[in-house]
Amino acid sequence: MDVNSLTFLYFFLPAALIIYNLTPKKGKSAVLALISAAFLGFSMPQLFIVFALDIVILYLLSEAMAKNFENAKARKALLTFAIVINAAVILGFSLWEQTSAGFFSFGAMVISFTAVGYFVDLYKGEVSPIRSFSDFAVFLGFFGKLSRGPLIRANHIAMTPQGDKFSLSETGSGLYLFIRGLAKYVILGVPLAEIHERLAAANAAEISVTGAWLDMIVFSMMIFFDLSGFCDMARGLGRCFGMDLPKNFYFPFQSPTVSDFLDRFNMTVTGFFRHYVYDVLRNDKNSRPQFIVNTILICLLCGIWFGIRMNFIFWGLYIAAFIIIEEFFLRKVLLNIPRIFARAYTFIVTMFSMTIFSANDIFSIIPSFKAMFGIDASLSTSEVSYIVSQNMLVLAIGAFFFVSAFSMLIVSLNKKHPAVYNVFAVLESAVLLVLITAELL
Amino acid sequence: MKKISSALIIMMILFVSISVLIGMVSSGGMKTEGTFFDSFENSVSENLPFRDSLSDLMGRIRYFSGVRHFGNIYIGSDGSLIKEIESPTSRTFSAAKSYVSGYAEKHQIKPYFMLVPTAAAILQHETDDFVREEIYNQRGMINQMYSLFEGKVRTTDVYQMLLDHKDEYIFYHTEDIPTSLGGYYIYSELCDRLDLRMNTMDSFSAAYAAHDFYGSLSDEFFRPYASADFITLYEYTGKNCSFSVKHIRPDGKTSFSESLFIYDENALSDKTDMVLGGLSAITEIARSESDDVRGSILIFGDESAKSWLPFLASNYSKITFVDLDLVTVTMLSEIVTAEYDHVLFAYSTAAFSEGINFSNLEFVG
Repeated sequence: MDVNSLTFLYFFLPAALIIYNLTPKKGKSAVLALISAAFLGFSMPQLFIVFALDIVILYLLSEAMAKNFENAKARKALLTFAIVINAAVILGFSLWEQTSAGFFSFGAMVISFTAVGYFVDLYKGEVSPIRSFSDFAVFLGFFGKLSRGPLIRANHIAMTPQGDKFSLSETGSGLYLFIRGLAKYVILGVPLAEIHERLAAANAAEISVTGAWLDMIVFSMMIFFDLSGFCDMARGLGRCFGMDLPKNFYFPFQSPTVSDFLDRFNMTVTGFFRHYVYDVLRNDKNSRPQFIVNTILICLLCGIWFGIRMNFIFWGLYIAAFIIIEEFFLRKVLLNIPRIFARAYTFIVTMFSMTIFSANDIFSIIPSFKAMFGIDASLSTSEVSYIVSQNMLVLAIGAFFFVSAFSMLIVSLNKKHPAVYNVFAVLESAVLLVLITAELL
Repeated sequence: MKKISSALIIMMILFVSISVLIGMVSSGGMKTEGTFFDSFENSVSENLPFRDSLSDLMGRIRYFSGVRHFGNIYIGSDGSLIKEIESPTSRTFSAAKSYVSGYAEKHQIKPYFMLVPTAAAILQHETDDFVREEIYNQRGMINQMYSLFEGKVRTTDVYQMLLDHKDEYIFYHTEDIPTSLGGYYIYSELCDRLDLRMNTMDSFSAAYAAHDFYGSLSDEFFRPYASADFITLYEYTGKNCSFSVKHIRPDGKTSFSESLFIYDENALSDKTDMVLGGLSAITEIARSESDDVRGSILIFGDESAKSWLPFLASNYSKITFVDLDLVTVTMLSEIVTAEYDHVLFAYSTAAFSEGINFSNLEFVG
């Protein structure tokens, strides 16, 4: 059972909401932990034991650290142990993915990185230990965020279930957000992924200028709708269960600089690495070499978040290179030229980065880049034309929602005409539910 | 968000949940296929309110957005659902050559062999340019198979005949077999090859049946954009003769019919079974009045034979049709090849590519 299934939408979610809201305040956290465990058991039964054991071990470590907080040596040893365990889980899953039998689990990444952040904060005394096992389990393994994140930090106090009373408005707005996220993924993300697969296959057979450019644009849109769709679903589910999860994407391809792109693309992950790696490594001198090393490290980690593969490492290096160039050479220029040109520059640079991101192997990047500039490539192929002709509507709608105009319109509508917004939200939810259901049939 | 808006959104989800639950209970629970959640998901999908309308809606949206193919089925400009065939492996060719030639040698006969191209070959002009380039070359496949027989088997080529009539209704829009009209053109080629006196269309009375039906391909694709089909039943009017059909099922059960056709279309889930009542493991067609017709023919074939068998029946006093994939070894051993004047192997390229159980020929008596 996936979040994007009819069973989840029409059975698991309503049942979970009813059970959660009928539970007295004291038991809500335990019930939510059980609901998350049930989701994990249903959706990833083969990983249930691994995740459950991981959370239990981490809880025991958290308890040990809480009890030995005054003992600096023990605290440090426990922190090291916690980091080693989580690094092993991350490495294990990444290596498993490299084998034919394995598959990548964002759930493992989410749990492990969240845990590392928590233990570092706990070690530094920046957060209080989470003493209740159910609160701890929900903090690490809330089912809503296991698919793609977002990453949260322990001092994000809204993470623990707080809703003591059923709130119709919160549940409704949570469901509205969830439906919008699901629609992003099901109606746009999945078809765009299929188009990308077909374009990649067509380009592998005979690469063309149009095919290479189109594949790059389609993949960028697909990544955006996939990741931001899941994040919206997570935020919506969080709101339904009394939590306020952070945003993870904010139209990254519209950024005026590549540095800004990184802050808007998977922003909780970038923020996580900035807080736990960049800030720790930064010293008072803040020299150029230090900036370069730290930027490369952060960008590499942001790439590795998606898996330990060469294309993600190259993607991180590529982004880092542009951030460094901007910092030392382009910043003033980008700030002084009209916004649209700055955005166009970032759009092109980040789009190119997606060609690296999508590459199955690092050697396939070169023909793609060459083809984009017409080297050793025809203008188009009949297969590319055919793929485009078959998917005009998805491509047009994808392009429309890829930019922030519609989203800003909705925000503005909510502020200026809340009554109209409410009617619109109901109608939009109804239309999206119909389309999602039809697509999932 | 206002409470009333929130309540409406919650109610929408709960309405579907409750409707599905009622549907699941009233339909007697769920069918277990695959994992528990696969079965549950299928059951939810099957019991959704307005399921058909949602399915139609999705089809219309996809069509509007330009989608003209789904899996291995293409939608032609005339609303035909054109199913691409699988590429046959070299083993498919060698098995056919080896077993058919072996059978011919064993019984000292020179059988006939016919591969009937599907709509994917003949109706390519109804698809996009790119599809035409990519679609499997059935002409080449037929030539390759025929050349392998090296003259030990007499081959029959109906490709050009069907291509010459591609603008007529020779293939069903929603089934992957020729229509009766297509079957007539195949029959005309067969008569030429088998040296039979061909009965022209004047010798048959046409009855139109099963109007506006959608066949098995439309279940997999966009029904709103597939053209409906109809069946024409051509009944032989020459001489005052009648036909009887005997079906022998794989389990050995038999049934009889005194006509080549079943006119009650409602009794059949597959409307093309109006011809002969479908084909069984063994289907025997016998003519009661055979003044000028005495021959008999043993045919090994597939479903596509439904299109031309009723025509061929007018030329033989006895036809035995054998489906090598359904027939049992015991049934095969009871067949006596020597009792037949002709032996014909007749398969659609689609069935041939998927693989025919030619090894069963070893058991034919």
